[in-house]
This record gives sequence, C-alpha cells and structure tokens, in this order.
Amino acid sequence: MPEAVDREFLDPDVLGRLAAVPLFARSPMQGNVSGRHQSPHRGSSVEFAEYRKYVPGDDTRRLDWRAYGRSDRFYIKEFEADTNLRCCLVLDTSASMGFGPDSLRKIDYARKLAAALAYLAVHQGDAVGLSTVSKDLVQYLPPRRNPAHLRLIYNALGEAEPRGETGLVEVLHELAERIQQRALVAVFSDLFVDPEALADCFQHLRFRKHDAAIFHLLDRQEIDFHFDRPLRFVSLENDEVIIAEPSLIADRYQEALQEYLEIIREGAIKSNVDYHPVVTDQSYEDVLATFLAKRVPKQARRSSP
Amino acid sequence: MSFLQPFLLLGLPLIAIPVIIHLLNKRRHRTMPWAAMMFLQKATRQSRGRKKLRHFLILACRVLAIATLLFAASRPLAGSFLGWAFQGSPETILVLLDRSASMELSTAGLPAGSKRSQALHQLGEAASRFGRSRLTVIDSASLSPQYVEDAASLPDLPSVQATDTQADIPAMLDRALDFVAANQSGRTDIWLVSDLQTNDWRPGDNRWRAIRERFRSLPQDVRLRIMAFDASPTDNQRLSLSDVSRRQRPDADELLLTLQLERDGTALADVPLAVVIEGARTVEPVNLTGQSLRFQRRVPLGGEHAGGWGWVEIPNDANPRDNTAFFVYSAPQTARSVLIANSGRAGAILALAAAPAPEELNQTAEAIAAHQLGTLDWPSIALVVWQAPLPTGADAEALLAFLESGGRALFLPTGQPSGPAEVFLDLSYGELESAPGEDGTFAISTWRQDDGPLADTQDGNPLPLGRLAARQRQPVLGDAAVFAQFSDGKPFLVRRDYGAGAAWFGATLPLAEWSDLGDGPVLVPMVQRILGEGSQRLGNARRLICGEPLPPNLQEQPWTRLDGASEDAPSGQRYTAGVYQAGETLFSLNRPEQENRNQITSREELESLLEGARFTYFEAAVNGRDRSLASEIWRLFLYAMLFFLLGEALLCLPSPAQLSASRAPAAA
Repeated sequence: MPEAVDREFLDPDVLGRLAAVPLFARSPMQGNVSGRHQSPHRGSSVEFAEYRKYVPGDDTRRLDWRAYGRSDRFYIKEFEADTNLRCCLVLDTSASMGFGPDSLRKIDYARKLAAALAYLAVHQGDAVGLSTVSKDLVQYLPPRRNPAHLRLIYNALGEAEPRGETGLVEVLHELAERIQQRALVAVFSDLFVDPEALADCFQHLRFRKHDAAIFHLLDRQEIDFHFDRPLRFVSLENDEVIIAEPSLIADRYQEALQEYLEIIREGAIKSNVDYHPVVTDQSYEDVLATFLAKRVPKQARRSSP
Repeated sequence: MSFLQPFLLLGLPLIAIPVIIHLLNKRRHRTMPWAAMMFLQKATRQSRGRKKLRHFLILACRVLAIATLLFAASRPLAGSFLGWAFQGSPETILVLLDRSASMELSTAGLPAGSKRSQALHQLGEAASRFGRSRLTVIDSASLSPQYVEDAASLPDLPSVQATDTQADIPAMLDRALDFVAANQSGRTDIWLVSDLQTNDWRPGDNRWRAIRERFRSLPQDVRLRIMAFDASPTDNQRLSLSDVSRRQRPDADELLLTLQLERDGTALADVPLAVVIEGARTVEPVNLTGQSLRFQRRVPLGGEHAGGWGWVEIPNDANPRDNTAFFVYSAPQTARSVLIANSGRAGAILALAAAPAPEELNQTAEAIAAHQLGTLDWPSIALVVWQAPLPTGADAEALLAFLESGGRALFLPTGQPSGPAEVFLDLSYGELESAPGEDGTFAISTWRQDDGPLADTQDGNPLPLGRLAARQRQPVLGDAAVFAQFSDGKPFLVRRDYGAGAAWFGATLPLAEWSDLGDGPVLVPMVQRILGEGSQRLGNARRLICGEPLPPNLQEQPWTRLDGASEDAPSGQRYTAGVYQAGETLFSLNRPEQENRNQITSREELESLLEGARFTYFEAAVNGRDRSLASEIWRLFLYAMLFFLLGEALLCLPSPAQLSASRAPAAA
C-alpha cells in the first residue's frame, strides 16, 4: 500500500489522552487470546465468578477447601476468563458522508473516530477490523490484533472517499452474519436510511450477540436547517433536485428530523445498542472520551481513583 | 375572428417570456448539495402538489395576460361570431350613406374602388347576415329613406351611386331619427358610413344639440355604428371654381375664372390645367408649390359671345370627381340692387356698398319705398337690402318668391324690435341693445373665414372684423346658420336659405351710433359678395351647386346635358356635375367648394357631438375584407388581461406560513 496516504485523521496528543481510558466491551467477548475483556467462559483470571458443585472429573486442585470446611461439601471455585476483543469498525462511505465544510466533512470526522478507536483497541491488544460501506460492502479487513494490521486499517481509512448510495442496512445484516464470534461492531454513519430497517439491523446484531455501537454523524446545517434564501437542493447520492424556500419548510423539516431521530433512538434502546448522536462540530476527543467512559464497568469505575 | 393589426400577432412568441423567466429563475437559485434529502422530501411532500398547481396557475396567468394584451393590441374583430351573433339581429338596419364627392376617393390602403363602393360592398355583406332585419337606406343626396329588399343588391341601387354633392350628416341623422320615430321600429341599428369630412359633419351646427337630445330620449334600443373611412388619401389634387365673371374689354370680353387647386402632398409640381370653352381646349401648367393655390385664369372670349359654357380640368387621379369644374356665362348683366331703408343715411351707405363704381362694375343700387315693391321687375334684381320693419303679407310673399328663384336679401335692423307679426322666415329682431359703459363696444369674436360673405380675401387675408366695434345691436331671434357672432355668442350675421336663394340678417347698422360698419372694409365686400351670389340668377346662365335647391323653373323642365360627358349619371343629373340646359336656361352644376377641404372630424369631436348616444366607432378596413362592420372586441381581451393579472397577484400573495416566516426574524 502506498505510504503517502493521508494520515491527518490521527492526532497523537488526542490518542495519548484517550489511551488513559481502556476500551471495554459491554458484554462478554469471545477472543482468541487472553485479554482484558470478560469472556462467556470460565477461566483463570483473578476475578471470582461462582461456586459450583464438584463433579467427578473436575480438577481437584480447584476445590475450595475452605468451603468444604464450612459446609462439608465439595465446591469448585470458578474464575472469570479474560479474553481479547474483536472490534469491527464499519465506516459508511456513501456520498452523503461527504456533506459538510471542506475541512470537516462527516467522513473526515468518522475517519478520526475510527482511527482513534482502532489505535486504542490495538494498543490494548484487541483485534481490529474495518469494513467500508457504500451501496455494498466496499472493503473488508478482518479483525487482527497485530500492530502492523493497524497500518492497513489507516490506509483503508485514508483512501475511503464518499461515493454512491447508501447500502448500510444490507451490509450490516451481512456483517452480523459474517462476523462469527462476538465482537464490538462500531458503526460510523449518518444513517440516512429507513430507520425501521435500521432497527432490524440492530436486532440482528443483538441476536448475534455483538456489542453494537453507533456513531450517528450529523452536520450542524442538517440539524439547524437555517438558510435565508430559496435554494436548489441537489442530492449527493442521486440526481434528485428539490427547490424549496427553507424558511417555509423549516418547521416540517425539523419535525421530520426529530421523528426520525426518535425512531433511531428507540430502536437503539430496544436493541441495547450503544447509540451516540454526534454533531460534527463537536470535539471528537470528547465524543470518544464519553464513549469510553460509559463502557468502563461499574466495578472498575468504583476502583478507579 | 380577424384583426385590424394582425402583424402585432407576430409578437405572440413573447408569451414564452414568463416561462423563460421562470426557468431562468429556477437556475438562479443557489445550488446546495444536500445529504439529508429524506427530511426535505418529507417536508415538501405535503405542499408540493398544491405548490406545483399554484406555480402552474401563476405561470398560466402570466402567459395568458401577455397573450390577451397582444390580442387586444391587435384589435380583434368578432365578425360573424362574437360581435354580431351575441347581439342578435336588429329589427331594422338603417344605413346612412355619405354620397359626397369626397367618398369617391380611392385611398392607397383600400383595394380598387372608392370609399363608397367599399362601404357598400361591406354593408351588403354584413346586412345579408341579417335576413330578418329590415334594411333601409338614407343617402346624403336625397335624404329619403329607401327600403332595400335584397341586401346583396345594395351596391347597385341608383340612390347609392356617386354624386358631386356634399353631405349633411346632421340632416341625415335627423331624418333617421324621424324614420325611427315614424315607423315605431324596435331595436334599430343605424350604420352611418362617412369619410368624416368636417364640412359634412358640421360640428358647429346648432342641430347637434337637438340630435343628442333625440338620441337620449329614444324609447327603443337604437345603436349608432359609425363606419369611418377616414384613411389618409393619396396625393390627390382637387380643383374647384370659386368664381366666374365676365369682364368687358374694348377689344373682346374675357372671362375671369377664379380657381382653387388643392392637394395633400407638398412636393413641387406642375399641374396641367385644361380650359375647355365652346369645344376649344387650351392647356397651361400651374406651378403648385404648396398644398393650396388660389389663382385666376383669364380666358378671352373673342368674337361676339352672348353666352356659353365650358369647364376646367386637371388630370385624373385618386378621386375622378374632383378634377373638373364646369362654368357657364351669359351676356353682361347689370347687377341691380334694391334698397328699402328706413334710415336715409343707412340707405345711402348701403347703396354705395352695393354699387361703389356703377359704371365700371355694371352695378346699380336703387332706393325705393316699401309700397313700391309690387312695381318691381323682380327677374332683373339680384339683391334686396331691407332696413325696415320685416315684410309681412304681400311684401313677404313677393320677397319669398324672389328668394326661391335664387335672389338674395340682406336684412338690417331698424332700432325697433319686431312686432309679433313681423317674422320673416321664422326670424325676427329683438330689443335694441347698447354696449355697456360710455365707450363700451360689442366685439366680433368668430366668423366664417372659409365661406360666405365674410370669407378671407383671395390673397388669404381675413376681413377686419376683429377691429369692428358695434355700439348698438339688435339680436336676430330664431334658428339660422351663423356666419359671425359677437364675443357673447349673439349672432352678427346669419343666413337662412330659402329655395335657391338666401336671406341674410345683420345685427347692426353702418351708422356711427351703431357701429364702424359704415367705414367700408367689412361692409363693401360683404354686400358685394351677397350681390355676386344674387347676380347669378340674372340672365339665362346659372351656376348652381349639386345638391342645393334648384330654382323652380329648372325643376319643371327636362334637362339636357351639354358637356358631352359619355358617362351615365346613375345617381341622377341633379347630383352630377356638368353643364345642362333646361328650356332657355343654361346652367352648370358643380361640386360644393367645401368638398375640397380635406379636414377630418376627430374621434374626440365625434364623441362630443354624439355625447349620450350609444355609438360604436369602426375604422375602415385596410385590406378590403369584411371588417368594418364587425365589432371590435379588444376591450374583452383587456378585461381578460386584467382578470389574469389580478389572478396572478392573488396567487402571488404570501401565504400565512410565509407571513409568519417573514415576521419571525423581525421579531427575533
């Protein structure tokens, strides 16, 4: 891959500050190696999990003799298994992601988020993969945890250009099936799709026991919709043209937007999706800090100073 | 439907302007690449249908407004469909046809044929659409209504053929109104065809007031439609003969012809003028530098000419009827005036004015007493000057007979108002009036400078009536044609026609206590001109005007045309210019001199003359199609345009949402 790929989306200072907060999964993960994430299986970590009755064949070294002394019964003391995380980054590269000021289009913002998250994950030994989505799945990099893989991901991020229509719903369904093991699926998109269909995607991801995190990127103009003259709105994704007087339709636009956001939010709540509405004039560091902080387990939070 | 200005319809592509502006305006909107189209779609979906319809209606209104404006400017005519069909057939169609000589003009814009023949053609076609309507024609020459059985035969009727007369439009309208009243006709359309010549319409005539009143008081629906053939003529030249006098010379007598040549153009031109007298033709060019030239031509008679006839002519042009003038002359006659004067001083002055140089001019003036009237040799008298109580009884009858045969009479006041019985030709004198103040005078403000005894001199200078000061006057009571009036509107000199003659009534006397009239500059030409008119009845050669009343002796005898014109006179000899003989009387009939004046009555004057009457004005067709009788319906299109503009304005009004949107930032 060419080395000259633009890496402006990486800010070492921000990464350095964010690295202080580890990235946790909200549900047990199934990793390949030991890591800092909870596994659905019992293991040998120091984190007590539960007692269970001894059955013949169990390793006698794991008998809790103190429990035997108190109850005269044999109990096996089990501990949580710690594993690594598979983080699948899904970047929407449809043409609508190209909206925004030249310096900070939605895709630029998404690149920064995805790149920082990838760095944090690899930095703590988790595997990171990347899928870029336009009308179809444009590129798929499977999750790997070696630092060299990070370069491929950065290259892919740098090369991603907004183009074509959005096929996010179909691709998310595909990815939900394609990612075999439980994983953190982080989606960076403006979600300009049918919110009902999107809710189905969320359910699908939940069904596959993935930890879904959605970064819903919107531009300030898209939210405020404040223009002072009639405009000829040209769709970024197709040839559709709408000539409108914004001041006349602003109310109805806001109504439609709020209704749409509400459906997305409800769908996310129902499917236990970690939903983060993001306006691109926010600091992406704050967005990620909030994202990471919300994921710190309660116990860990208590133990933290 | 047809149009008077069809070339304006070439502008119809202009209706695309609103569409083009609309398209450009659409392009003019700043383009905004947008991602969140789904919300825009939702926001605009509700109003899109209605908005599109509104935009379409606004655009349609604009397009239609321009289209209707163009149609209105093209002056659409609804011929058989809109114009007439909706109005239904009138019960009676009364055609008033101006048969004056000027209607024979073929104008450049008109196809072959005169204005009159074009009008007849169009009238015939238009009238034939109304099979149930009763078609009656009143022509300007005879003024008698004539029922027309078949509209198609209208152009062939003898009573609509060309004449050398002038028209009297007020008389025609009077006759038409008489006809409407007498026949109790229901809905009547009066179609008045005229070239709007001012001398035909006579805007200053007192009859117009009565005509307007009659129109207003008509119980039935009467519509007047004026077909105006006032198109500008081509460079037509008109010749008229103002005067013929025979001068006695020691060697041989000569005829002095006073001619007037007029035309519309101004380019320098040599007009070959032919004088034909007793078969001998001489042609001499006349250098015409302006639009009008009055000149004299001397024609030596040679030999012993007791009397004779001839004509002058110019080459044929757009109007064949104004190129020839006929004349007759007789052996020298003494112009004899008879004075009946109460005041000896006034009588002397008047006698001097009637015969200032008796020998040279071959004139005599004789003062007699009123009771001597019965002894007079009336056929030898040209003028009677009457400054005495108005005649009654046998005197009046004798005077009327004199007037009927072409004599002229000049009546002047006596200082005493006329008694109840002293009414002559419905005219009488009122109370003596003195000008207010010691040095007060009655000034004469207007007088006829183109015609009559007070007309301008041959070199174009007006008579000094403006300087004439009257200290006393006796107003003339009764209706008559006013030829001069004081500044307060009371007449100074009026004329009342009777038979072939006329009676003139003056309001003041040529005495120092009455006025400056006795100084001469006004009185002498005035009396001489009246005498000149009266002198024409002397001898056996008469110069007459077509259409004017004929002396009784000519009415009774058959006429023989002498000038050898090969053309028939379908309209009758009486209305056709020429040289005729009736018994022993030789006479010429000429076109009235006023017909040469190409002054047109304006639309504003027409509206003022016919104020209160329901009339529609149609201009003559310019391409010969049947348009003049069609209704102009441009107003309909103008109303439609206003309707569309109003609709557009209403559709463009901001909706409540827009208003609230525009107020919101202001409130903020």
